[in-house]
Amino acid sequence: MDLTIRISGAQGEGVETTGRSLASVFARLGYHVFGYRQYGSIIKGNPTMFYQIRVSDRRIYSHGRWRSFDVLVALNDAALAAYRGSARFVISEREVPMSEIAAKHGNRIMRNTAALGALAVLIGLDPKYLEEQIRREFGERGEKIAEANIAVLEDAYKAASGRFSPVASLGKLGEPRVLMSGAEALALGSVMSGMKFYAAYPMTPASPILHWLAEWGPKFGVAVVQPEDEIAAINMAIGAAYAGVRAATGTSGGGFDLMHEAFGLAAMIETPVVVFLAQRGGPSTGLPTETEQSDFFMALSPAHGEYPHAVVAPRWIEEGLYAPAKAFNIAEKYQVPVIVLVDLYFTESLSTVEFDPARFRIERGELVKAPVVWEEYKRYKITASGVSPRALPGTPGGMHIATSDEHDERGDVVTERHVPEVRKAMHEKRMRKLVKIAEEMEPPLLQGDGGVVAVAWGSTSMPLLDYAEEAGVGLALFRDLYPLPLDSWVERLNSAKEVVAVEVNYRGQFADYLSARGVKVSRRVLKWWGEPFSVDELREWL
Amino acid sequence: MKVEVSRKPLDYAVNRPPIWCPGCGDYGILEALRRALAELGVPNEEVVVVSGIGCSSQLPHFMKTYGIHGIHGRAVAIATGVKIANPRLKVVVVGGDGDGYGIGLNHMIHAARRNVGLTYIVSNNQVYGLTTGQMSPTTLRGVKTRTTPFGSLDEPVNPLALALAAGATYVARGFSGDVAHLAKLIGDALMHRGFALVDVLSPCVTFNRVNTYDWFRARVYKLEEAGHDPGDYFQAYRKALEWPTLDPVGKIPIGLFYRNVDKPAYEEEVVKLLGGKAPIEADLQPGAEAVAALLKG
Repeated sequence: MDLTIRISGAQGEGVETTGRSLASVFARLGYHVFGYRQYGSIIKGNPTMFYQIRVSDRRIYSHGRWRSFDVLVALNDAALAAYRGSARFVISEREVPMSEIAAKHGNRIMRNTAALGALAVLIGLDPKYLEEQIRREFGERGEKIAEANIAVLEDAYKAASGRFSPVASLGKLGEPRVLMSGAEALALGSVMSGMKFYAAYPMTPASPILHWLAEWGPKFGVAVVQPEDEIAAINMAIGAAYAGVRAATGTSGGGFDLMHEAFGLAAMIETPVVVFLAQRGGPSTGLPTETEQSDFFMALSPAHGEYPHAVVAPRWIEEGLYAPAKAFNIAEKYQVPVIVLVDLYFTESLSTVEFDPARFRIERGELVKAPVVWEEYKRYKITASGVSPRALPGTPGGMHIATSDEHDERGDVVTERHVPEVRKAMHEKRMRKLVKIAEEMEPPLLQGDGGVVAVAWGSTSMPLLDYAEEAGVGLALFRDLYPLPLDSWVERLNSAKEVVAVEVNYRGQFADYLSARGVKVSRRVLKWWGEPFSVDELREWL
Repeated sequence: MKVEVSRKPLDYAVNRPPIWCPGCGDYGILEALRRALAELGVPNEEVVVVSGIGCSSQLPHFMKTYGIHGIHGRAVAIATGVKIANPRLKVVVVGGDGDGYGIGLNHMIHAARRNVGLTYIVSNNQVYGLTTGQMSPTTLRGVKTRTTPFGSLDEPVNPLALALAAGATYVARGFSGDVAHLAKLIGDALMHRGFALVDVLSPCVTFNRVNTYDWFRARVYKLEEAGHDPGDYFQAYRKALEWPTLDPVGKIPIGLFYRNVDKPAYEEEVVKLLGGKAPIEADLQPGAEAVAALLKG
């Protein structure tokens, strides 16, 4: 069983709420669910936004198909005209008088609920599960609204019963599954990883991380600040990290542009900080509400100069839970800034996940715990690994200055004179960390043999995993992007018949990156118009 | 029983001598800060001095405390993060007028309205020194600098009026030429609950030939000797406008303009929201119960 339902209507009229409710119902019944939203940068309007829900009895990673789906729920004529040709079954006012039923019980706005009643008939879903969901959403406070919606649901169910015969049967499958968005996964994962400070300025598609943390963070001792701009956000995070707590910020490309200078500061003063970079279509304001993977090159070298840092890109939503632990551990062990590179498709999509609290391991790296002798303590001591024990404010004797200027082992500025030997040693010390970090980075997930291998990074892994399930194509999916550990996987890729890079950008940035490292990329399949790849497209283009 | 350790200003000094030009106003600020800390007996390890970029932003290098010499204009933002993470620390921000009233002005306004517990000392020399003598946001109109060879066309900002408008709860102005007076202002700022701005008239002896020690000595007068009531917000605002807004060459009030101790500091509010523990004190990983509650919600 693998069913794809597209609910479409005008933005601001509850399409998303309806989609999320339905996804929650399926997850509670034990199904694997994926929810994807397409919308515009407008609060009310855009008549054909949609929410696409895929529900399956086996594990799925993506929204699945793009050009054809099983059920269209059209909440207005524009949506009907736009998508009816792609749907096997259609629910609209023509089949069930949704608006009329809703109006009868008080308000036309409840026609979304009427649509769910009709859908329940078509997909063989007992309406009691929808009723439970309605009660859960409106709670005790909104009992009257809940009852009106339930009346609408029942009427619509009756009206549709004469019209449709069920094409599926969605009964209870198993234990309820946890459903969350990629943003929620990152936020929860950060809390589980011991993050205690998050500062972020609102920007799509990173804002949902901030929203979740603002609500839940305080219950876990996480201070959440909405500062005046992105520059303040990252600088606050750096300050908090210097004071000794795990700290992060999150933004999209335009906001990250503003953070570059401070990113270099974090690397220079060897202060661990994590940046969630959620990509959207660029450049400039670009496509504010649509996905893209075009900030990879930027993530490789955001600030001026040379410095150590790391980039990790969780490949599917469940991985978003555990990627922050990796990011914070690398950041603290090596005292570097780390980018968690995701995109709108990742942060805003919903997926069922396995959440295992036991999987979070915190490694804080070398911290000076006991008092030290101030005259002897060297905050930036030159070591073989490049990492120097870090004293936190409050530690007697550990007083030092962390300076953005080139400095010596004590942290004292050296730029009032020309001291090439200090510069040489200190720069080498910092850059040396990349060697050790590379050892901690995982090679790509390799699947399949010597035929066609699709190479991708981050969220493009999601549709590729689903496609590989059906087509048996080889895969090389990268989570850890920089520094890149070069080992046997390079030869394995080069022995394939064809290596195809699949990316949501125009240039094939990752393909360029791999090519420069000796991987023979034979073909690039690229898309840069604000949509993730879909399984049906991959079928055609691979 | 608490052991009282008496501290001297030199206990906050490092072996390294400051690199400022002889006669620079920043020496006065450094001495005043050390005296204020010694007077209060703050342990060295509980002080974090954060700065931006500029001559005066070198100051943390001459303090035996924790410190961050960050990037241009962002010291207040960095310091905000330090203070929220660990409110027990005394967090001092130092920098110049270009750093704080030019490139970083917005951070001061927002830190003031949040009332973050920072002591912000601005070495206001009315010129860009480290970049060799360009106009700054506080350069008086008509003053010639390397970038205003025909005299500045720009109206100078009034930092005290800005801070008051933004909601700062401690607003003062000192003078590098009167270290004892300045040390008192800084000491009170360090003990203040919330955001404290101490603007310091701090002559640049190399690039500002107009606003010299003598120029200031002929003009400054002390608010505490002029019957000013620092509890009166509107009187404070009128005093703030006297110079440079209303009369750029007239008398210059120094001392405490305004103080309000009733408003809670931002970090206090955060700790309250977090259930009584600061981020640095909270358990690193959430307990099983909290996680279970979360998944249920």
